[in-house]
Amino acid sequence: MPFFFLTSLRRRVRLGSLALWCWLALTPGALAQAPATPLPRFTPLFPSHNRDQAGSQARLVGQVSNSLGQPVAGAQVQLEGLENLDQPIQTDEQGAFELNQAPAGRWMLTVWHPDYEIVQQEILLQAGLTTPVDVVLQVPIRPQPRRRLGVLGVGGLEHTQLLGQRLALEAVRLGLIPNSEKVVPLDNRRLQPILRQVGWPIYELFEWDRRKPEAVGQFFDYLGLEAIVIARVDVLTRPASPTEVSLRSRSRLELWRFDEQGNLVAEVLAEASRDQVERGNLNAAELAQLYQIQVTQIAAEIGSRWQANHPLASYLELAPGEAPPPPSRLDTAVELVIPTPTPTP
Amino acid sequence: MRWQWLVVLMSGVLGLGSPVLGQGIPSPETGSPASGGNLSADGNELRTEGDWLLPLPSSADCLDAVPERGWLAVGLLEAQAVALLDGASGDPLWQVAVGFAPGVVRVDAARQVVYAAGPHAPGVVALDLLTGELLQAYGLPAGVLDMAVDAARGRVFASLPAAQSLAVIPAPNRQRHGSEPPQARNLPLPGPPLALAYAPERGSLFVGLAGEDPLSLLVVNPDNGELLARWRGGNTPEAMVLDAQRQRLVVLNSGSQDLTVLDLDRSGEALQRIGLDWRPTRLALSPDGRWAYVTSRNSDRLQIVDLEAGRLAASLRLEGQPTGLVRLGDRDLWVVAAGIPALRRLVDIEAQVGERETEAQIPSSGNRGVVTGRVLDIAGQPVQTGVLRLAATSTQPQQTVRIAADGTYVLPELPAGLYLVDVEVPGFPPTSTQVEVRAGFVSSQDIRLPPGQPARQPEGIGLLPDEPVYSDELARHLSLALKELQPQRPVILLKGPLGPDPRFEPLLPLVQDLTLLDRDERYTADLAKLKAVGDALGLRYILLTHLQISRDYNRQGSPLLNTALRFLAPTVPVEIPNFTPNQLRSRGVVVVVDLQRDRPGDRARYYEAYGRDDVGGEPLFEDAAAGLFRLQVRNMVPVFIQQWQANNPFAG
Repeated sequence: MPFFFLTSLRRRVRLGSLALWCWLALTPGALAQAPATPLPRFTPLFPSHNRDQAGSQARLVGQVSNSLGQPVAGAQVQLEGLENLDQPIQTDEQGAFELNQAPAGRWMLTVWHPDYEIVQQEILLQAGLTTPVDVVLQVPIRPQPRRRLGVLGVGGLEHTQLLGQRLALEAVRLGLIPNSEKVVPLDNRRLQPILRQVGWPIYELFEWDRRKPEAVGQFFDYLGLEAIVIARVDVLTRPASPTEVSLRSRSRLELWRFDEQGNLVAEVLAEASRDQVERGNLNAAELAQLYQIQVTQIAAEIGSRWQANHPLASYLELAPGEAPPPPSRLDTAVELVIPTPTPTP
Repeated sequence: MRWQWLVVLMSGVLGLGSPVLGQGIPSPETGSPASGGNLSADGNELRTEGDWLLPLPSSADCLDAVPERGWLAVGLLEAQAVALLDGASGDPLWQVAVGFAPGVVRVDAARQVVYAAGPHAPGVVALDLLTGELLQAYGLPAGVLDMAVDAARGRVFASLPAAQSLAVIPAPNRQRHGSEPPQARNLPLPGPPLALAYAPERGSLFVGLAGEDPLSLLVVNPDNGELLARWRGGNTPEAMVLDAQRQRLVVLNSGSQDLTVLDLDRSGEALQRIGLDWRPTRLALSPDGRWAYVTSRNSDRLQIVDLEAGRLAASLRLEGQPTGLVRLGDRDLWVVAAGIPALRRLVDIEAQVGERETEAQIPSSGNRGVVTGRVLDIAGQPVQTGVLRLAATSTQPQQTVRIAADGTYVLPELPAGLYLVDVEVPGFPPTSTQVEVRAGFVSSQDIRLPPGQPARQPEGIGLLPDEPVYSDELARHLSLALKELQPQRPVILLKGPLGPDPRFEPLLPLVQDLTLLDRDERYTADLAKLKAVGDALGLRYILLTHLQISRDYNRQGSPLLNTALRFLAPTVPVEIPNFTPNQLRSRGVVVVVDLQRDRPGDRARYYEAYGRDDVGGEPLFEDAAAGLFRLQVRNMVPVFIQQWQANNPFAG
């Protein structure tokens, strides 16, 4: 079977493999939309240094990436004062750009991409020399339409925060909160710029007793959230007997949302706890592991309770005729679509 | 089961590759020979003329050639197998599962052995070149990054970066019933080894060491592990190739982004240092030793370096991100790209870029470059004025360059090399710094000055917590209160629960492991570090916050009360328990440092406040207790403010 006649039945697989991205980039499956003229075998980027030009013209090469180090394709690169170029320079799919035969001098380099903050940088171009530039683009913090359901682990201490994050991930993994277009698992390590903007640390922003509707509203705006599921885990390690230690954890899933009047409403979706007695000579890493296992068990227990009546059903399904919300650059999960080949008739 | 091979016309299919997600991806297994013939009708012509794409069962990282037979050995990553292919026809000869991802494959053609190892597998396997049969497996202390073959003596060398050692592996014993199989030996090295190359005539092994040390190239006697010399390589020599014909060693430095060509006959003197446009990863040489092919990290560029002219001749765009590459025969270059399950053959690359180049002159600035950058103070702010003095060398006199008003400087065009620059900026102690001029490039290098005199009278107050969790909360609440108490002074929360202040961020390393007070509560010499922070940010005072907490759970009631009860009613055997057994105690300390007046040895001024909570019921969970401690921290703020109102420490 010729492999590029296969139509693609798409199967969604979440994988963080960059390698597959590259594979996708190579895919020859685009034959159906092939341009009329085949592209040349490869394009020499600066095919020849002509003797008369090598001495008078400068070269600029650069790499544009985002704050995670991923290349940014399609960013516009411009030297200020050189707007009369025939076509703007764009970064290729590897985030690289080159400008051969640039005029020497000091220039303001502007790099612009619709999904990122604009970056300006002063560069020096010298005749006959190459100037390498590395540009890092930052994700802007802008309000977005509130359409999605966030999932976030929250804790007041480092280890409870980690366990909360674990509960949030397990809830998504085990399907308590199905991984649909509308659900966005948030990574609290990457929320720092947003929290700076909002002005509260995460554990105070979602404090149960002292609610901060304005700050939570801002947080929802920046992430485009309609509601958020907060996963909390609290633990207590105490000696149960001279040789044993009791590990207790209690977990809670909360739903925070704004009602029709715009009031912040927080409700408890589920609560569960675990109590376990273990031998006393556990080290910190073993303790952390045991608590993580408890959190996974709790997530599974809540999942079985929700089989019949799912409290989040209204957030998970798209309304009829509604388009899925646009993905945000702040999302943590890398979504890959791996098509399954099906035979053509 | 044979693979189903498919030969695909490069320009017809690959050129259309698009990065858009969600397009149909054919899996290589699905192709059948029949349809393959259909697609590339004149496949035979292609085999001799054009470039090829040869599908593999999985992606590969490294490949090696058997030039005499025209074979290619490929390590298949996901399939965890090693395969041998015929480079002329593309037919697979054998494929053997090895049980790990073979990131390194080397062929000893003389002994007909293929060695395979991987960075995550602590060992090397030796396979028969003709059959693929496993000859022997060697256990090693760590994963292997690179291997080099000594064909004359039948040894293979493996670099083990994690173990900081080199493994010398004897060839497998083919006599089944002989004595016990040969074992690998480990030779310790002074650093993590990266690339290896073996010079058989000299019997010495060249090892590239990771790290910033410019003397990164070791010459090792592999017989006894003796270090013979340390040569000047470059930063992070990740790959190297020996040009035996010309007795040159070509070292690829991914850290300093260049190629260094060393002369073996003149004890490693660097003949050339050729700058590259894109960060390099792997290297191959043409058979005549004139061209070097370099793949790039996270990039689709194949950089072609003319070693004779000493410059980058061209960079070609391939699909994917090429990683491994090998020359086979006179014209073919085989390339694998990360994540792409295929091998690519490129024919006569240099003919495309080379022929016109042969008569081209090296540009006049071939060996020259420019350095530019900014001169920054310790807080990362550019200085406004000053001069740089470029030290005189044998070829040129001393030169003086002014620093522009925005802190930038441009040194004149200089021959490549390291230069010493004296920086003279008013208000800062004179400093010297090295700048490196890269041939053919405008390199950017910022100069960071040591702490200098503050430009303005420092007035502000900074708050610096010690270890988290609660001291940063205290600093945060205090900073809000201080803004009201001292409205005329700027207040900076240097580090809070939301991370360091952007102005303070470049100074963070200064306050790492700060030991400000000795056990007599007197300032130590570390006060100078705070002074540097204060001068850079315009701070007169720095407040260090510190919090101690203790938690206890005790049901026992007050002994005094119970004794009295027993005395009053001796017949009633009742003890009154503690109804609030959760005892949460905290003590907040704020050290107020006056950066103008306090000297090391002075007694520190500090202020204290206490928090106390007694909670009934079951033992408090940790997060719940943390919430109460945070509340205590918040309630300490008025106590501190009261003390400061009574005895103003900010009056100076």
